[in-house]
Amino acid sequence: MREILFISVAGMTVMVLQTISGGLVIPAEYKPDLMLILVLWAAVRSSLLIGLGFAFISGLFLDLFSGAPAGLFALINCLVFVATGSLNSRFAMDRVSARTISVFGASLLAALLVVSLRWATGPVELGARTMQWIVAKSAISALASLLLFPVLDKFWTGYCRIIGAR
Amino acid sequence: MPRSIRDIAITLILVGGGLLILFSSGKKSDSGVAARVFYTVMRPVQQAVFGIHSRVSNAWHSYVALVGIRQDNQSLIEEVRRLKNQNTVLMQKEGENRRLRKLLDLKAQHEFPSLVAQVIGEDAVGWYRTFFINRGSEDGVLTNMPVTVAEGVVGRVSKSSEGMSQVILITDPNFSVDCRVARTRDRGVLSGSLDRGCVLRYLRLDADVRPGDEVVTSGLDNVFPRGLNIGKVEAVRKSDPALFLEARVTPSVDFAAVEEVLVVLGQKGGFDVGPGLEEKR
Repeated sequence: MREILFISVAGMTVMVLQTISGGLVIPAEYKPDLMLILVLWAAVRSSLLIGLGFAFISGLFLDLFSGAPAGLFALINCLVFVATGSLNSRFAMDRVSARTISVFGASLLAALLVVSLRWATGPVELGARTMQWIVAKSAISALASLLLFPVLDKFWTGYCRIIGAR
Repeated sequence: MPRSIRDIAITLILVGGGLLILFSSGKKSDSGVAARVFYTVMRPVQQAVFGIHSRVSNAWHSYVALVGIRQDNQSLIEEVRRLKNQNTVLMQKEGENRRLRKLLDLKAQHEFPSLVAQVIGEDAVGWYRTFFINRGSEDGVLTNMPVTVAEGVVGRVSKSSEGMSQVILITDPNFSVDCRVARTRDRGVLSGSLDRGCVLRYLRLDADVRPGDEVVTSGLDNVFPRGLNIGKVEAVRKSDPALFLEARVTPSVDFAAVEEVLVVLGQKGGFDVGPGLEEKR
């Protein structure tokens, strides 16, 4: 229950930031995917059931608050959660480099699925500019994770100390 | 000498001296010898006294009278800050006023009912080009209604709930609208491009479309009213396979700067407007 509370509050905060923050520092289409970072953090820190549930529900919210067809980000987040959880069980994902690379990879996977779905449903131009945009946005998300992971870890540690979770 | 005589003598001398000086000075502008001597004696004394006075006066003004200056300074700084804030607010209001005035002009030009809405959020992930407005189905906003600003078409409503709606921008590949090139009247279908701006597809191969040509809505899709500005042709090329021409179009709207929009609620042969919605417009 305590874990659910923490992850829900973090999810709501990230959701609000995602819908209002673009354009302040960087153009809206390049803004980092904070929810993806949170899902990755949950894959490393939380239990499978709660984390996967959060990944699914946060994905549904993203579908609602974006132009994505319903279910796309719920699927993407679940895939990212399972893949990261599996990688974490084999290799320790606590290192900064491992986390950053995993965010970059997850963002590329999300872009691949989004563009594939667009391509399947209508004419889509896939020029060099699109590729640059996808890589740049993924790199920005990876860079943002350098800041967000330690912040989440710090809050989680403080929260555990106060509430006594785990 | 008796005392009374001495007193009288002194009085006479003084009065006589006074009369002598008075009548001897006449209308001469230069001072007499006595005056010059007097000035010479008095000058250093006067200078010293004046110097001391001015130093004391300076000290008073510099230190004693400045006791309240810190407070005055603080209150002035506060006032400057408050006025700056007020100025910023007024400038924002002026900008908003200007934008709303433009929208009102546009609203007056339209022959169909429309509704002003405010942009309240943007696409959550950034992989799509959408934003959210603060009007929904309870204001009469329904899916597929056109969204415009004074500069041209912004997009259309893609999802609508009670209090808010999602607008898909013309730069999103999921958006499409039937258009004409204003100069040649050639028709095509415009949709968003992931690469940049929009693409006007399915133009006839012999169409005389050139860079700089304006693109407007045709009104034939029964969604967008006729003649709304979309943007300008940037480049023209043959499609692959070469059955049609394609034009890259730069939208006339700067989407990052859009804060208020006009939702077109209905048009001739278009949407039905629900009863009781007139007063909301």
